[in-house]
Amino acid sequence: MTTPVMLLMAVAAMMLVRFGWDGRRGVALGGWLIAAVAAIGATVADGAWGLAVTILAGSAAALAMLLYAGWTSPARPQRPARVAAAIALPQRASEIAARVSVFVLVVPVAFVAAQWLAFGVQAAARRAGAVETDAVVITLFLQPIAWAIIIAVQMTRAGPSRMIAAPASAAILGTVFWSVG
Amino acid sequence: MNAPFKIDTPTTTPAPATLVQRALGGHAAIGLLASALLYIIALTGSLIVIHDRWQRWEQPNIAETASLSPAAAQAAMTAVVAGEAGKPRTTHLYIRMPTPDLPRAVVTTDNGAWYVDGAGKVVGREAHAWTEFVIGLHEYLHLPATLGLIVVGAFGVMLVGLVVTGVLAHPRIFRDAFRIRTRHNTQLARADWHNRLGVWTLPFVLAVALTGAFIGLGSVGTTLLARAYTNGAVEPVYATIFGHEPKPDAARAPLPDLATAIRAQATQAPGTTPTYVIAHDPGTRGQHVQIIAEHPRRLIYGETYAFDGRGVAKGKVGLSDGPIGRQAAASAYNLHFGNFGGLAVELAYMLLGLGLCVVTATGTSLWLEKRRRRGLHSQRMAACWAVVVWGTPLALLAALWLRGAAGPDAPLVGMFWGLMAAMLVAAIAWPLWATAARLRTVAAAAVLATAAGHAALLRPEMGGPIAIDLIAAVSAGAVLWLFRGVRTVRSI
Repeated sequence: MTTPVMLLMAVAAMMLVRFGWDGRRGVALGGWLIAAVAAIGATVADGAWGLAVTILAGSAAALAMLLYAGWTSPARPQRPARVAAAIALPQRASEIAARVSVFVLVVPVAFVAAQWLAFGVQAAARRAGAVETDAVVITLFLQPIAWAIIIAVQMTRAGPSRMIAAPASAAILGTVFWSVG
Repeated sequence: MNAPFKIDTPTTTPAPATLVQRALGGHAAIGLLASALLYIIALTGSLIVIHDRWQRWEQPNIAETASLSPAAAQAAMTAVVAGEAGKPRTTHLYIRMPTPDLPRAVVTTDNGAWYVDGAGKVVGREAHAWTEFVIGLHEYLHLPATLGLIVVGAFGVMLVGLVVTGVLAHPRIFRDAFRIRTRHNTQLARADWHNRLGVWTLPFVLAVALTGAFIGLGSVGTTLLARAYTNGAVEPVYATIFGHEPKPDAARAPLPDLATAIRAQATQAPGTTPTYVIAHDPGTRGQHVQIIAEHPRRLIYGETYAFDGRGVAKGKVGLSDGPIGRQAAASAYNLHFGNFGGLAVELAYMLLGLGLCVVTATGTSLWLEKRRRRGLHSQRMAACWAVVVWGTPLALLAALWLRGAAGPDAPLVGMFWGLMAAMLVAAIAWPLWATAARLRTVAAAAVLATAAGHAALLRPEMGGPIAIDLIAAVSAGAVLWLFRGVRTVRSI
């Protein structure tokens, strides 16, 4: 089937997800299944371009329905619970030091660890016979992905001392990949 | 009589934070660190999706042409080179071919850029300084280019971190998928907009953040690979993706035969559309020609076809059908910029980008309001955030008016950052002045005035610029009408 058909399927899928959101779980699940079929079909038909336009069409359809829901939302005098902000501003020197150490671990340390991991993986890929172009692109693509994953893991840890493991693991993995072969 | 008090001391330690709580804390930490510049990057990114159309809007009264024939391209190169007699010889000459977004041909050299008409005659200087200023703000925050690209690329990674922690902190992500309480309490509405838009823009945000990070951080990885494999030379590393260049030969020679190269490319690859014709080292014996041509229904920005100085084909780089890594790298640009499906995709990207702006703006506003409700309100912080959200578009417009009044060489970068700094200082000194409601009204009124002023002063005759004026005016009017009478300091 052609990509235009997949685009229409993606839009219809999101409408089913919306319709099923009110409690008809089977309908919503069906919508997601159709969305997956549309994405796969568009990829088979037109590669990455087909996948991109199909996802875009589905996203646009979902957003349009969301904006409509916002437009028709009834007025209610509901007040939010008074909860603390998820993060407080540092007041004491120890808190400032903790924040600085988090920044150092999450930004330069994690960046270098991710870069080393990416470099190690491309080295292993080269030894495994990958063409040079692919090895170069692995380095360039993998670094931001690895860095983002490390950040996500670090920022769900309880404190700075527990944020060391993620970049350390990435660095060790990078060394393993670099030395393999 | 004073009865003795029994003071209850807690006998249990607080429960450890759950993953959701830790993710929310991490999400807030990244957001607070990065939100101001992320917002500026998101807002300018949304605008420059249609940068070609802004260019046309900024200089509406230039002769246009839907196409440039091979002979006209040759004439254009000859005319521009002749016009640069006495100046240093250019090392590269680019001809940007007309496209539906921008039906104009532009010849760019090391010395400047010129519009040419359908016959190849120079008709004006390319001077879309404001558009380039907005592009520069998005791509490298007006820092020195390589450093700026790295910094902006790092913000792309921070954005991915925000997406992941945001999802982890959102256990009701499916249950609340379409729940949006826009007419409840402002804070509830703000939270719903933040969460719902964050979810439904997720695929788009991941795509633009990761491709932006790849583009911005690429120089670091390339430098590392160069040190490891090519004795520090980065050109061979880039050449693995974008192709090698022949050795230069500075001996003088007639200008290259672009017309033959263009005709050969059309024969070699029918169905493709040339977007750039590039003459490397024109007028030397080592000159060569590249033609970048778009392929339909592909994410790649184009295939690069190589020709010698006589226009004889020398193969192609393989961006369209080479190793998968090369195709993927060539696809990152269009996926990031949103120019892979014409106006429909561009509009979708703009709307999704504005959604990201709302997510970024509401995130910090949510945090500020939570603090206020716990008695930790800081009028100064709220005022500074209002300046970031509504002062940024004001400063962009101020730069535009400066460009209009003082010409394309006016100091737009200095104006923008100076005005932002001044507004922040004013917000700190007089926080009750810089309320979100007031700044929003001023920004919307400024957009309306700019659209009206552009239409009245420049009198565009083409549909594209007129449409931009109309849409801007209607949108600004809608904002003014929707928020009429809103005086609270606690809106976004």
